[in-house]
Amino acid sequence: MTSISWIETGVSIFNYLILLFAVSVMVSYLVLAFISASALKSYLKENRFVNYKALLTLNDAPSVSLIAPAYNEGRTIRENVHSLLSINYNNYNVIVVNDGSKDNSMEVLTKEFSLVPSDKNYQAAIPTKNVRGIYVSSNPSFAKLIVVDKENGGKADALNVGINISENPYIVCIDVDCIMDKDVLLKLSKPFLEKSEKRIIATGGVVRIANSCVVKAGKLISVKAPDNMLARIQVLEYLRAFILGRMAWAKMDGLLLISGAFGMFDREIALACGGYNTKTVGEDMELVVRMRRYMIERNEAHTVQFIPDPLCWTEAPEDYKILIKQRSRWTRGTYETLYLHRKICLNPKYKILGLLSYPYWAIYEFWAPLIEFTGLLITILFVTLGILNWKFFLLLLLFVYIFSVLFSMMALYAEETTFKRYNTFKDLRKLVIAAFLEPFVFHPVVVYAALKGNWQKLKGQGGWGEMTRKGFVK
Amino acid sequence: MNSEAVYTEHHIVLFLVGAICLFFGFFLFFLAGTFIKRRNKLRIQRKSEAYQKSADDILFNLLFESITMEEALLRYKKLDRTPLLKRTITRSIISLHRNYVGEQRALLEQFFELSNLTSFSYKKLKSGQWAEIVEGIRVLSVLNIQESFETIRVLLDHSNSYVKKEAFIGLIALRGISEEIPLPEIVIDDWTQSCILYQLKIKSFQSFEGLHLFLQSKNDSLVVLGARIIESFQLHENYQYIVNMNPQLSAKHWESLRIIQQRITKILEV
Repeated sequence: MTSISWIETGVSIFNYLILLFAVSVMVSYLVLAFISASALKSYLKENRFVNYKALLTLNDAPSVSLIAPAYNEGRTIRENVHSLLSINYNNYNVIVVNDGSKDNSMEVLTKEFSLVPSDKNYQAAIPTKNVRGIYVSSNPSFAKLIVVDKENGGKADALNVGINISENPYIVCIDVDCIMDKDVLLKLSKPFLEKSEKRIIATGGVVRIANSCVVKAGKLISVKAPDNMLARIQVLEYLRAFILGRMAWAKMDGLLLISGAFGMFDREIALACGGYNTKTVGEDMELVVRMRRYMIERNEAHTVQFIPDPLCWTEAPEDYKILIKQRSRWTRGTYETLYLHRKICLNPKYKILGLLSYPYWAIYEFWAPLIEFTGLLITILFVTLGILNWKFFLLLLLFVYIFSVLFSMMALYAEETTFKRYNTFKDLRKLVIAAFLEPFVFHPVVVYAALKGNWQKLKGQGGWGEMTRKGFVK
Repeated sequence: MNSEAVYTEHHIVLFLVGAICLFFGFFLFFLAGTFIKRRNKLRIQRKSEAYQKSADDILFNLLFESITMEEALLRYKKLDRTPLLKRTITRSIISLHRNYVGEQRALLEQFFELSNLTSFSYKKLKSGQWAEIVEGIRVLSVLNIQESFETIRVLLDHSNSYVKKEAFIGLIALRGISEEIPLPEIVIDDWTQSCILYQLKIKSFQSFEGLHLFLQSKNDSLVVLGARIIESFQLHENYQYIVNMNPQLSAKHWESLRIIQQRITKILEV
């Protein structure tokens, strides 16, 4: 073989590999989307006429503790806690954990809710940083509220304090700045009350983007597509992930992740597993994987449920700096969880988790940006050497681009067919434009952030970094 | 490049071009679909709002005795009676029915029956789709259409478990805990039990003559439901019976009963 034909063969192999990877990504997305669509259809049919208020008559409705860690949330904490206290449910309490805030969060809470020290003893079933004090309200209107003041230890540590304090069988871990649907606990509790052969160890819900939405007294009044392009693209990203992705994994009983912003857990199992891992920044995913491993290794039938209703609304980053911080943290979290639980990869003992969920996450969530970057470097090399097959390259680029736009459109269609939260043609236009721009202004940044996350991990850098929020439109 | 390689590359190019066209076609399909759905949604919303206005006008005037039943029916008959109007007005009646009691609630039930909106719901009971049947049962039972009792009773034997459960809830919503209601064999889960308790509360039933059938049933879930009714409605005369109960139940139902027994024991101790 001549050197020319060697090069030609190499270029061809590279082209085929890239094409194969792109096609495999597309096929996996489409399969998940179809499974999701079928699961969504059944869910909506079964819950079409449900009167969730009926649950308020049942004394035996699951008792739940809402755990809200707060760090430097002084500006919004008053309104957020009022909002949590006004959720429609009987058997619940709210545990706000002040994670050593440097601002006036504790003063605001003490004044607003007439806090007094509680005689409750803190028993650290899960080891945590020092708890300075536990407070309850002297005002009977806020009898459901418990505030814990502790030394700073990070979100996972604050959540562990909440798990230790809670006496209820179920815990709902949330971000204090999220906007919750008033019926959130009624909807989350329903699966626990229906006949199930398996123990439900966790339930996750959909998180939606609240930028530019109108919020009044902690309640979502009107849903709008964000004005900011980055936030708008994240609307599409969240719709794709939650509506066309996680619903399918839940249907196949292969969910590995419940969003840290919003998830309900069986406290007994969470405690038995040792609570949140404080050494990872992907504590949400890590806990779910650990809880599932715990159940499988004890041969206990279990499941992780998913509620597709938009129950939790959060603020998305609106500038590149914060977005990169967030995404590099997510990459580190994914890597840490996958590495910690590498034992389950392709292990038949863990059934779908080991055989499908884990490899999928490893290839398409963790490795994909690295593969993409490698492809880019090789392409640059080929251009430099003048051996790039331009026709193939441009067609492949267009192929991937059109699929990306199509998949976003499918997510918008799914939203329009199911929950219909966006109401105007202006919103539709804004989101379709975002779908066309995403591959240029968003995707490369996300790939860069993932690479940065890996680099930080290699350097041994940890921590969350600061995440500044703009606040909701009021 | 040899001819085989050229041939393969040609095929790949064809594949890519074909896929791009196909994706773009699907993109247009979903875009058009979303656009049409949103347009329809907005159109229905606008129509619903207009219908809602008419419904509110008729129903509030009827409730606060500004107009007689005959006049209300006449006003309703003058409207363009589309399925959307029927759905809108039925929803309004149910919502008002939930918030009013006594004479006003009876007026709403009467209006629902005399306006022949019942036939809209009866049609749903014959639907091939279980979700439609559930909707029909729900509307007829909530609005207290006693004539639907027999039709709903037949649905207890339906093949779909959602219909069976809804039929059981519906029969209880119509007659309360009565001996006339056949006891189902399927498990009445906690969610369905909460719906039954809700119906009993909202309809303010005073008599629970069929309760002993629940407590003696071989269906474990009904035993727990019976105990829950006694606790929720504070039927003190049955407290001692509940505390002394020791039936053979499945572990899950036994645990539920034990918790109720504990709560009632506490009350008895006080």
